[in-house]
Amino acid sequence: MSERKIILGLLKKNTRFWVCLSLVLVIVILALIGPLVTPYKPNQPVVRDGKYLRSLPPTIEHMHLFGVDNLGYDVFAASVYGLRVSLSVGAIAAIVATVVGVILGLTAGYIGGWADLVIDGATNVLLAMPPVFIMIMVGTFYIVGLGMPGRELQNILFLGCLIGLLSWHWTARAVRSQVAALKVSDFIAISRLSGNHPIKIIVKDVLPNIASYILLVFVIQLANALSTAVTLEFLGIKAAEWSLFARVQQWLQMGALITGVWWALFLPGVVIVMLIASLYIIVLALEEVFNPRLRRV
Amino acid sequence: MSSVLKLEKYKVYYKTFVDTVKAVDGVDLDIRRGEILGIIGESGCGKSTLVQSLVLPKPPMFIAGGSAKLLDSIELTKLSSKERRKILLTKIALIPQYVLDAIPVIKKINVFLRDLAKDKKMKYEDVLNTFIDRLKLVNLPQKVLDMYPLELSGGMRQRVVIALSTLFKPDLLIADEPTSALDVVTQRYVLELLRDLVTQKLVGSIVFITHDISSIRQIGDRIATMYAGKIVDVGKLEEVISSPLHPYTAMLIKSVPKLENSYRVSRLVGLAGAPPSLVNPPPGCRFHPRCPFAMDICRREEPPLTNMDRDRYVSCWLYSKR
Amino acid sequence: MYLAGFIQRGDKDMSEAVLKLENITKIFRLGLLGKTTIKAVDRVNLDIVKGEILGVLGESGSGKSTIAKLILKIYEPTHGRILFKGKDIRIFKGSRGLKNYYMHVQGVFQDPYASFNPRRRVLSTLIDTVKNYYPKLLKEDLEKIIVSSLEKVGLNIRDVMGRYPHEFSGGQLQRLSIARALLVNPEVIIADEPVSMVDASTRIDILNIFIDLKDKEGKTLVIIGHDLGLTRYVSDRVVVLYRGQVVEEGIADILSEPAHPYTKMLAESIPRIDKIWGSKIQYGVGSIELGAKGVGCVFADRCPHRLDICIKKEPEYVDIGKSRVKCWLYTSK
Repeated sequence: MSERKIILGLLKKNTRFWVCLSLVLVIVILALIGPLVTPYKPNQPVVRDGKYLRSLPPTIEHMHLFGVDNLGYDVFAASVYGLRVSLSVGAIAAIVATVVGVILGLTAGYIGGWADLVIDGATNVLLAMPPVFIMIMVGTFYIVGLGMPGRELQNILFLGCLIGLLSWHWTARAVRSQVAALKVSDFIAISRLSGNHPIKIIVKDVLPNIASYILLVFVIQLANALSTAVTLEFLGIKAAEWSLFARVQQWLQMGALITGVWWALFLPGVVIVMLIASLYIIVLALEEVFNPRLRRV
Repeated sequence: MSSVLKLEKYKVYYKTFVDTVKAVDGVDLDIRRGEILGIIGESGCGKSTLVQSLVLPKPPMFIAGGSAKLLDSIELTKLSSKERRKILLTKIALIPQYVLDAIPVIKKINVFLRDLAKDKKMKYEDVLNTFIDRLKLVNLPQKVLDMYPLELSGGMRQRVVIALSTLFKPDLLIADEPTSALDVVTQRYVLELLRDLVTQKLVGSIVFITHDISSIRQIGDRIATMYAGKIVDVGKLEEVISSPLHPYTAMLIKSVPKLENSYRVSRLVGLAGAPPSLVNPPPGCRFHPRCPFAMDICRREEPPLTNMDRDRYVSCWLYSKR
Repeated sequence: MYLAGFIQRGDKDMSEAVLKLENITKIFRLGLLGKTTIKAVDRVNLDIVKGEILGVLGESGSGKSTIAKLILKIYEPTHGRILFKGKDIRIFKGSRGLKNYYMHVQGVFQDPYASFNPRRRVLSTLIDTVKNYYPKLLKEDLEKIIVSSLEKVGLNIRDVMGRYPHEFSGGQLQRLSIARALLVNPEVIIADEPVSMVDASTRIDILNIFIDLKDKEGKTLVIIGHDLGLTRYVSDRVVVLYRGQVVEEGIADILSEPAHPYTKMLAESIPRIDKIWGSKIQYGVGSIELGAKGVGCVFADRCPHRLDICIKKEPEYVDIGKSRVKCWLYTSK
């Protein structure tokens, strides 16, 4: 029975996978349509009957599903707009890390020799540097306009690339070891004996055989990038004013937790944590399905 | 001659996502006390399923019919998993093909023995002493007790598993390809060891499954041929080897070059084609697509396993009467 | 004993050595820092004569697969050189150089399912190969080459069309592996354990394909394996490897009457269908490590006929008629 049928069959049965995938999809849809659903804007304080609203707990009334924080912003609006931003940053970071990592990993693994040494050196340098610290340093200097409107796209791209370029080495290492092992396998040897050019071998023989592995690593990178993006927001490195936790500093200054406005922090927090956790569980489920040795059948 | 294990119309299938594989499809076999029965079969004949189903059947494998009577009293097809665990190692033991399936990798051997003793409700000292005796038999030093299975070489692990399987003097020992992945010298050692286990009455009988007919030649008392989920040929070793009845058995014997054979002297002929699918086996006799003697009836009806007297059984229309 | 059309040891100088291994050594480095070394092949000298079937016999750890990969330029020797028709094969480098080499020397490996890309139809892989080597040929001529290769291994193109590797049995797929190697019409084929993963009943047919290639097309075959009987059946000459060294070399008959104690041990330990084992063996049931130990004879620790000198000094090769043996027992003082 073909490998593909086995994988699809196992996937169908794996409940964890479907539960978590649904969660992820729900959150992504939330980020996409949320802003169209909520009547509030993330950067305009809520005004009703001529008064600024503050510190309102979550209610269905007036669609304040996540309540209003102590600065007067609707938390649900801030969450869905902020999710958009955070997800974009995470996705860009994951794509950059994966593309760079795969290319360098393939080169190091297949060509070996000096290419391997150079890339290995770069990896070691990156491993030695504390990533978050560098991101803070670079971010503080280069984030334009401290998250003012209009600059979001530029900042999202910049942050995404920054995080991605500081995390490609995980992917590169993982891909390199898989490729190096494949290189001395009979299968690749015969491809060379058949007269195939190295580039053709990499594209047609190596890549398809590590594709599922790359998918796994991509999802892990995505989860990590999201964590990093959100952590940076806490520290003030944000792509937009309304990034998910961008206002945390201001809340703390104003004593949000002392005054009991827990929903402003807790609810978006739950959303992002569920997202990241679901991504990790998806990776575990996929790994079980792809790797014959981990299967429970 | 009493029987240790009697299989009648024994069927074991397993369900995959798309279809049902009829790995063992109506096997009649009788394993007698004190004998070594070798089952010869190639890839895709269902032998591994047969072996596993007798000891620890696991989904997606399921017993689809027939009976397997152990010691004339225990119906293996109807045991609960608790009852199965009770008779494991005491009445029936298995040396699986991949030795690491038999013993947990993360426990030291003496720890494993301790757990085993608890499981069988015996004293650890008794189990330990018996094991030390067995270690002498398999020519291993006592220090393996303090080691993890992974630290041992393939041959040593195989011998540890053999020692373990004889601890409680099981009535039936099943060995699945016991000599694969071993070097030549260890292979001979293991085969002769299996024979000693029976002569020294450390096990009652042995069934061993292999694709190497020469191994069976060396230590078997009787030989059975398995093809496409069925047993097609059974008899005393010397008789089957010197005058094989079933065409498949005959071709298997002819495919083994004797040491003096060179292609320059005479060319050997192998068996064309491939074993049939166990999902959709061919109608009639399952061997007919590859059989040089196939007749019309072979394509339509399956031949029964016929008693040819002198303890010889064949499933072939060349010999069975309608 | 001289058989017509077959090369005897003494005739070596008169016949062409199409492949020559000169003092080949291959050392692998393992571990993170590369501190552990394994000497897989140890100073092997081998002449492969044109038009012969050379059987390389060895167990796991003997270096036999490494030799195949060295000849096929998958590994590079640590010391020594390999000559093809007198030229050091090192000159065949780069994409073009390798392709040139592979038009003359091809390979078949042990696991047929690992030899084909599981995601591509087998026929596509074959078509790719012919296109790579004959870029200027027309479609009909390419098809002719494929059909002819398939015929030589006993397969019909209709059996192969549209099917993926997993849809074939092991025996059929191995035949396809041989067909692939034949597409470029090489002079030499290196087969590394070609029948070890194939059912016993199909093995003979596959070995017969190799024999036909030698008889009908004059190809040179190197067939590597661990089964004494099969190696004896298919070979003209044999080489016995132990721990990376050649311990015995000669005409295939020597496997029935071996001289070297290791070969004797193999012959006595294998189960045979025509003879039952006699008395119990006295060989040490040691584990086989990779690579030689360095001092004395490589088999000394397990040899029942070990002499004092065997532990101290490495034996020299001695010519004893049908074969040459690396053993002190045969050196006349």
